[in-house]
Amino acid sequence: MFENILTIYQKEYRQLKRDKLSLTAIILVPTMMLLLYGYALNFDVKHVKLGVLDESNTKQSRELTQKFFSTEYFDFAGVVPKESAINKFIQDGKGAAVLVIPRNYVKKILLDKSENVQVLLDGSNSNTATIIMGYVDGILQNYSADLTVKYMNQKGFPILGGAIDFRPRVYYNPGLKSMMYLVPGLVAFILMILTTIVPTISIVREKERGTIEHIMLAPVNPFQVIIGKALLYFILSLGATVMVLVTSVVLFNVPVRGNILLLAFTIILFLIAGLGIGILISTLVSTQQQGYLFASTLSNLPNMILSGFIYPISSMPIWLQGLTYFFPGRFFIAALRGILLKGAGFTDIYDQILPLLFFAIAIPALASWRLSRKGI
Amino acid sequence: MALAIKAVNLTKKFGSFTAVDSISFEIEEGRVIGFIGANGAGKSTTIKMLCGLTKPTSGEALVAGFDVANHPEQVRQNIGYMSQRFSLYGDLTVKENIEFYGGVYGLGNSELRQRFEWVVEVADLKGRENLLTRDLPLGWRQRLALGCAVLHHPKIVFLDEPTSGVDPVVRDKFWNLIGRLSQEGATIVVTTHHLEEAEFCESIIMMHLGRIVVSGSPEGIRKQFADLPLFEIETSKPVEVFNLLESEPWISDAAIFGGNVHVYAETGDPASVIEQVLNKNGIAKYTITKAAPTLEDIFINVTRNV
Amino acid sequence: MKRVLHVVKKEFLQLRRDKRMVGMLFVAPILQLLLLGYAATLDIKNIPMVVCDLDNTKQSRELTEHYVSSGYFKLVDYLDDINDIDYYFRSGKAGIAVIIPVHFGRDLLAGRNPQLAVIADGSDSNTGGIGLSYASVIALSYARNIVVQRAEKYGLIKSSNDLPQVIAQSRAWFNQDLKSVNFMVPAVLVMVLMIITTMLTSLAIVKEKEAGTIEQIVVTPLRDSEFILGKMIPFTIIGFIEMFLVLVVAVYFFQVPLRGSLPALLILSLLFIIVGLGLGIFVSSVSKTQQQATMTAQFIIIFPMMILSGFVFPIQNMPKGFQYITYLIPIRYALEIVRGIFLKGDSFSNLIPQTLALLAIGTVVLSLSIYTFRRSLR
Repeated sequence: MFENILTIYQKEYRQLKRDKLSLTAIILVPTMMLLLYGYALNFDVKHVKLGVLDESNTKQSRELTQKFFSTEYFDFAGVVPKESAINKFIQDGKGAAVLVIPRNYVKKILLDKSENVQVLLDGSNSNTATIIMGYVDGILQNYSADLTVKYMNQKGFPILGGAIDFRPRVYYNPGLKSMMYLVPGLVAFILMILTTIVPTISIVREKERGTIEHIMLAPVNPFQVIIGKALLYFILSLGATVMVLVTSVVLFNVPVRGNILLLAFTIILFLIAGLGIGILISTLVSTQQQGYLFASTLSNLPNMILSGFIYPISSMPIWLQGLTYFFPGRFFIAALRGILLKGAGFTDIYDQILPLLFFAIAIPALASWRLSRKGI
Repeated sequence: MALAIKAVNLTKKFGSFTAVDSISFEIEEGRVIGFIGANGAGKSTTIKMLCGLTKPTSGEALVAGFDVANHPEQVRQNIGYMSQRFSLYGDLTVKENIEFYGGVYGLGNSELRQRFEWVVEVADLKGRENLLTRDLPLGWRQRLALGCAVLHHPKIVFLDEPTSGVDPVVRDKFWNLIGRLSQEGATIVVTTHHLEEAEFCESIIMMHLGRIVVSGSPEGIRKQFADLPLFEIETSKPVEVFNLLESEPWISDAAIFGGNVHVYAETGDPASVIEQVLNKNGIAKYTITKAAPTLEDIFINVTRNV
Repeated sequence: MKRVLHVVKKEFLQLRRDKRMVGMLFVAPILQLLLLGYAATLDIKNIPMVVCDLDNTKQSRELTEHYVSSGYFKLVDYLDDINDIDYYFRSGKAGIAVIIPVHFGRDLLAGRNPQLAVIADGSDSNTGGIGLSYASVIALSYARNIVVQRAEKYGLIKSSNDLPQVIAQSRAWFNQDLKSVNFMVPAVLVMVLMIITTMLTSLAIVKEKEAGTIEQIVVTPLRDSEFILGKMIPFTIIGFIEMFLVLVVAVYFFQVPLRGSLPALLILSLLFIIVGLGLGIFVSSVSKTQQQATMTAQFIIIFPMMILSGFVFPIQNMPKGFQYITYLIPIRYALEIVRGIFLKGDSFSNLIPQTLALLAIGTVVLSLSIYTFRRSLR
């Protein structure tokens, strides 16, 4: 039995070793993705190009403008001469937003009145636009608080400092680097590909070519064939995970605060679940094209989008939040973030680990049930 | 007679490995030519170069009067090719495969209809026109593949190991079809590693390690090698005889053939030397005759010392 | 040309036999639309929040109420002990913790600037950062309310507007309601086209290599260019059908506004399809098996291009060097075109640079890939 599995494993290993192109892709991709995520990709909206249309043009209005450019969020993109030019200013990409200070701004402010300024921005990227609007609110809120305090002090009702001494603190990732946030998702993503898409195609390829029939004539049973193949990808995925984790620790200072054994256990559970999905899909399809489409649309896409890898689950519609529970990705990423960044132990995240354990048992069971009924 | 194919110093190298080593030959129109050789002898590579499937490293080839390197289009109009790998579309029906290949060969409607009937008849596929090709037994698929390869009445048909993997009955049927194509005037070039099939060819070219070792008609080749020191020993104890002779240094080959022992003896007056050995070892009843070499014997002989 | 049609016909015959494939060709884009349309939002809502209210006064409860009613935070639990915060963060049950110190209410009323500690779980950097900035805005606005109340009580002002204040009136152009659907759904169009053209085309060609049928084709009078064309046409047609499907769902189901020129969208999509097909042919010329083709197309072409295209991660956030690389990525232009036409009402005249860039990339990619493909055949 084990000899048979080993024989199949060896065959797979040799074939892959000769397939330089695939091998390059398997080794290159995790590294490349990691470097991209580490160096190039982030959601940190900073240095937004802000144009200014200052119709008031007074000391006070310039003071307000200064509040914007003294933060790292906004960079001065130029003066917009008149209101009708705003459209072109944004459309030509000279600036992402324009601050409009009305003509009677100073009058109202000097009279200690409330006044509106306008911020016009390109909303087509809703995410970026929302964040920019948040910055604007924050800056103006602070500025208003300053004005209020000054006013109250002048009137003889002293307020110390500001009205509230807001003390923000960030745990686990003080620099709020997206890298830390993305690494667990990246591991999930790479594992999803190596455990689902690649093995599916490798199994279906033998089906398509008819070589599986030859193997079946030999005294091995379908389970041994599948396990032999899965074993290779199990090892490969484990290797890729270790590589990604070590690189992120060394290069990007991603911490491993939790228990290494728990980390390994979690990864292995997810890996088994992923391989199960791959095998299950390969029993459902008959060509590699189908295999690719099935694996990438029915498993990878939802596992990535609905996992909290990039898009926060709490912001999704309720029905979609419900759907996230059907994909192991969500539990895996939560568990990984917990273990790596927060030092979570089993008791902290048992409600992520147990579902993973369930997937790691149920999916392979389902796959082997199909295998025993239908063959490969 | 006009030449169908002329090759001059044709060479193909893959890196440091020389698959075909500067071979030259001529093939007359209308002949059935067999390239014989073991796997890796360079037969398939030669055919691929003649069809324009691989570029020769050096040398040149004229096929149907056109230079393969400079006029591949004209060459393709005049040839049909069927490879050892099954190359019909498994997910198309018999009919759709024929229509597709007819289409890419540019056959008109009436001609296509006529050729369709012809293929269905010769491949024995009447009533199976709407079956998916992948569901056909191998023998039928191979005849259909050949039919599809000759839809456009090519002057020259290249068949690369067409009969590998089929049983003798199917193989005979396939050769009948080849005979039919030949009668219709086509030049046929076949590669095979079955030496029995060489007998079906008018002329054979034996290849070994990228070179031509012998060529000519089967009959001519046999005559040429008639005096090979081959002997047949009829005996009631073939195994003992075989064991005795096999270890002798001057016997370069020995084999049991039916109830007889065949030996290839490289020594002066082999018959009497064999007699001595057998007599010395107490084998009494036997007859030694000089045997006419088969193509296999010749092939083994000419490749032995290369 | 007639020979090309025979190849096209053959492709469709083969596709028709593959029912599951046809099914997936329609299911896949719909699924992508639904998932990306509904889920792909970076908007931050309902951040799970724990409150450690050590003050327990009217003011501390009001502040908590302000947080919850903002919609940005969802109250998970009240904590008595600050040390419990750790557990809530570690288990992922809370993303933000508010600690209201003793005497908070008294100090606030007296204008003594009380501390308010808000802690974010930074492991989710995006939510954490934005959550903190929301928390600060809400706290300051609450504090202002208190000041206004005081000023009114002392008769300093008549209404809250009499206190100096600058309010932002933000107006987002092109996507007033800031719906991420409007941003993501047009992008799905690009993704679907990319997958069909690059991935499926390369698979369809390599499949013939694997089956050996390509050898048979090569010895027929069919020219390489005719074979390539015969493969490109069906996938262009399928690409167009899928595009219509996505368009219809986008406009009628997701109500994404299509403000610009539809002809421009169709013609420029065709241009993008051709670029994608070129990439597909390139992949098929370097791959011998479908497994290789999948890996090459997926990992070496589609993923890096998607990531660097601005599909999810804004290009302006990337370091300068990477921003230059994005100019080489056709998806970048396709996204600008599609988003521009949908949301900004662009037409040909606004999209000249993108069109030229796609044309240039298309020409290079297609000629290079046809060259390598022909070489790979011999």
